[in-house]
Amino acid sequence: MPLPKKVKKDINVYPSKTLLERREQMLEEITNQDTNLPESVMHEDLDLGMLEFVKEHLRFKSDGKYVNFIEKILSLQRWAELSNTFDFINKDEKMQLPFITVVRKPEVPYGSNPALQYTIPDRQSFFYRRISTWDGNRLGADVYKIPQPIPVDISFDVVVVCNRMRELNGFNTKVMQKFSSRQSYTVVKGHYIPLVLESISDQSQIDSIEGRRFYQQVYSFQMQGFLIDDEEFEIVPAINRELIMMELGADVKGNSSVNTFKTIKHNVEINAEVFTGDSVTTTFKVQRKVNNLFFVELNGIILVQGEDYFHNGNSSNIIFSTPPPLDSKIRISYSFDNNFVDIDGSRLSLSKDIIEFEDGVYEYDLSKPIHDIILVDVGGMIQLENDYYTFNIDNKKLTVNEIPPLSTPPVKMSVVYLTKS
Amino acid sequence: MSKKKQPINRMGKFFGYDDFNLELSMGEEWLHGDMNFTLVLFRVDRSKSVDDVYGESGKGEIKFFSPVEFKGYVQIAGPDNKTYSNGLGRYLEPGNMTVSLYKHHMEEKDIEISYGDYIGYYETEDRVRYYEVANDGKVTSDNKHTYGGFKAFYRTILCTPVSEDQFKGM
Repeated sequence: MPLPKKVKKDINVYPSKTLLERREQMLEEITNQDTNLPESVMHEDLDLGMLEFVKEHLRFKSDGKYVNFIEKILSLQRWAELSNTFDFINKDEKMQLPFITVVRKPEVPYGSNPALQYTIPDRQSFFYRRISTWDGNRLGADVYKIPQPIPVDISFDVVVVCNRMRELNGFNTKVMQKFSSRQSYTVVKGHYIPLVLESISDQSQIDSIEGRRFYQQVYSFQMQGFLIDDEEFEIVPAINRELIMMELGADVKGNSSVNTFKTIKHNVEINAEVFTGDSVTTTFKVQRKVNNLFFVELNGIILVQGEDYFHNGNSSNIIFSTPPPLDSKIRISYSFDNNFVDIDGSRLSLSKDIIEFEDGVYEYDLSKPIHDIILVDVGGMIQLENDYYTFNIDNKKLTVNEIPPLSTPPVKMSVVYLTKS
Repeated sequence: MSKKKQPINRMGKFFGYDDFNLELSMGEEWLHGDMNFTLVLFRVDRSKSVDDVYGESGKGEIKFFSPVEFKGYVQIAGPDNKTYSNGLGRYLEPGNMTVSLYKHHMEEKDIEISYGDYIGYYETEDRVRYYEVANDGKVTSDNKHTYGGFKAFYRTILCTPVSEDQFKGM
């Protein structure tokens, strides 16, 4: 059985352009939008889209040649109408039949395209694209914003004027084939713009027997376009790359094995975290930021800040000058908050003063009035109230009853106390 | 038409064939000798012209007999300034042409003018405008065309201009 003759026997799977031509085509596709913003679509662009649609899809042949087409929208200026028909006028400067012309109705009402109707008020701009920027030092980005396109309906009358019924048929065939699904599309700067066939009317001059007779039919189309005005585009700087510094150390100890909370006087809550030494790690990281470091114990002995360990600012790292021994227990007591509310509702805040002893001086002024003393240690030894020190409420003076012997470096007294804020 | 002929005897006391022929010859002398409006008749060969389902021919498909010159009295109306679409697509529509010619002249030239035939009229030495017969004036029973009721002696042909797309002569 022979193959049916109308079966296509080979299909070209290769692109029509190859090598240099294809590369140039791709370059054109890539760079034709190099502004990163859509091109403006204004009235004249839509009108041109209609003209190109008619020229490309609705022109028909009569006597083997395409019928004449006025490739401009006819307007009020008479000279323009004449100049655009030079190619097919006779000695009377009358357009030779048959021909097709496009007449745009001057009014352009708000669009009926349901995708764009009255959805966003006030021409607000919206994110369209984020574009990377580089100022030579910093990588940043610009945000391109555009407002919602404005829908418009433009009505066009495509008029065909001819002398023969067969020419009317030719045009009608083209239109019906193109608009068999009610609408067709024209491409305006890459946007598909719908065209809807609204009506067909006949204005043929055939009723006068004593006058020139010709066929004239008007096909009314509605273009459901939209306006995009590049004057409304916005370019605003987006966030630039921030300088992020991160301190990394191989000897940072992870979470503590024990984390307890203990409430001491006046609702002051103290965190106590326990770590185990491994004779290698020097930095121990507690779970929260340390606003007040009360003391650090090593196997029950309170260590001296600034000598045995260091603590900077309110970081959560406690750095030992030498690694604690293997399996030694390190207990870090601290509070992460400075502000408390007493049971009577008064607001209290923690303060910490480091005092260097002076020879023969038993009374020292703290930086703020004392509401209550939380902790006093002298050279790492915790001291008891009334046994070693006394104070008066709302007074800055702290009185000790013993001074350690002068030494180098000098022994210091650390006082953590509450003050009214 | 019946082959049997009946002489016209009306108005016989005042007007007869001799008078009629005299007046006719004087009129032809004036029209053909003095006025000398010359036209060209393109009589359509209806048997050879292409005629599709709509009864119309395409460009260049109208066949016609050999053109014949004839004389007549020509009156052309003024042109109309018109547009195809509500003020846009302007064109100047030439006026209709009315041609009056003697029946005797038609018989001499052995021509007949019918509805749809084309007539060329030289406006200048190099410009001929073509018209289509819209009214062949074959009914000449009225007083105007019968020399006071004696006998029909001329026809009035009404022609409308045609575009070159439709007909452009030879």
